[in-house]
Amino acid sequence: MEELKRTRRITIGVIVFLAVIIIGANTIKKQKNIYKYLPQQMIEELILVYQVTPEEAVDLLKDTVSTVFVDLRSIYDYEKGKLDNAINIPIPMLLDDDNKKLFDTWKKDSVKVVFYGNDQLQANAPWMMMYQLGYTNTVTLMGGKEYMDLQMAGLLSENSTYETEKPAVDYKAILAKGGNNSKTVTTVAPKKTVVVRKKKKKAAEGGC
Amino acid sequence: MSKRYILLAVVFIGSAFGLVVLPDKHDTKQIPAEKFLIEIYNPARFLSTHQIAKRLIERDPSIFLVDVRTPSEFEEYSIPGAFNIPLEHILDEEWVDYLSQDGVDVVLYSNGNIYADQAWMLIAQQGIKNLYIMKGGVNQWFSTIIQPVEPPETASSEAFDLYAFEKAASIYFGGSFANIESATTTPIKKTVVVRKKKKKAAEGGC
Repeated sequence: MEELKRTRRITIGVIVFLAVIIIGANTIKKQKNIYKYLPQQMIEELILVYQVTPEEAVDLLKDTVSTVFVDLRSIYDYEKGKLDNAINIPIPMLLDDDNKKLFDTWKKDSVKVVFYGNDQLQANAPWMMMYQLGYTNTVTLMGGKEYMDLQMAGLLSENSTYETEKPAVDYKAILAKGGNNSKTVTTVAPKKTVVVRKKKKKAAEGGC
Repeated sequence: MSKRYILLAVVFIGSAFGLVVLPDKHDTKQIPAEKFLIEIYNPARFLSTHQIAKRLIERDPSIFLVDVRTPSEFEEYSIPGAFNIPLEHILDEEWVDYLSQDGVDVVLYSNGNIYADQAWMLIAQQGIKNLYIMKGGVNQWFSTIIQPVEPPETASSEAFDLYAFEKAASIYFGGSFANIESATTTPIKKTVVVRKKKKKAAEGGC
């Protein structure tokens, strides 16, 4: 009788143990998007070519087979005007299941994905995230849509540039002209301290 | 009876092997991509050159500027009070304490936006808060603070208020208006020292 009781306890114990394991395995939180490149690895990747110039983009736009342009702006901006054959995926929707399937297909088919926004900055962070998630077939468009519009309309001025990281002016020369001169002119001359000497009281001179 | 014990042992050994096939534990410090995407999209991660200039003029101790350009560029020109950590060294162990300070807003800048944005991406995804980018970088700093341009006459009053601030900031940071200011300053008045006549000692009459 005692033996039977012990056996039953062991059986119940095993069943509970198995149940815990099965429930645990099923409810384990799987990370949906796994970073393939950690920040330390990504810093090395940044040295590689990851952007296309507006001149290159003109040629890439003609190649609709091996290149796809992804417009990261809002649906409203996209409707107002887009680059030819561009697909609209607003930034908050980048990781939606449908869009991820698209990116997987493009990666499998070695299609070059060119991200663009109004300027390069708008596309930079989303590009970095997608690259870190393993989509290494992605690049950003320098200058963005605004520069492309000017280029296509032939409205580029002397000041137009897509290389925003280059100094726009000679910083040192400007400050030499402005700041340093001014410092010498505007410096306030130290106040001279005037020492007031008390007059010595002379002894009262009496009259005759 | 012994069969049950064997079965029990098999279950335990089997579940031990199950642990082997569990997915790798990822660096928990890294923000999940879905959550990080929302942070990327938030424009509050950018500060304007005006906001930064104002805080520097007020000598706000809760702002820490980090210049992510090369040391030679930093030496040529940097915003007053900035600290140089080149982009390729931004993740070095020695700078961790500089970049994550409680109650201090760390503001990254480069010549444009891109390098500062990349530095922001690398640091912020590790869960570091109070991290910002100076929008437009040094180029924008020069066009708004150092060499501000007068708005057209038809511009709004806000634009003129902003221009008035820019002019004042330009003087403060030694920009183009510092010269104009110095040229228009009224000449220092010459102080005429009036000498009091010495009182002569009373001379007694005869």
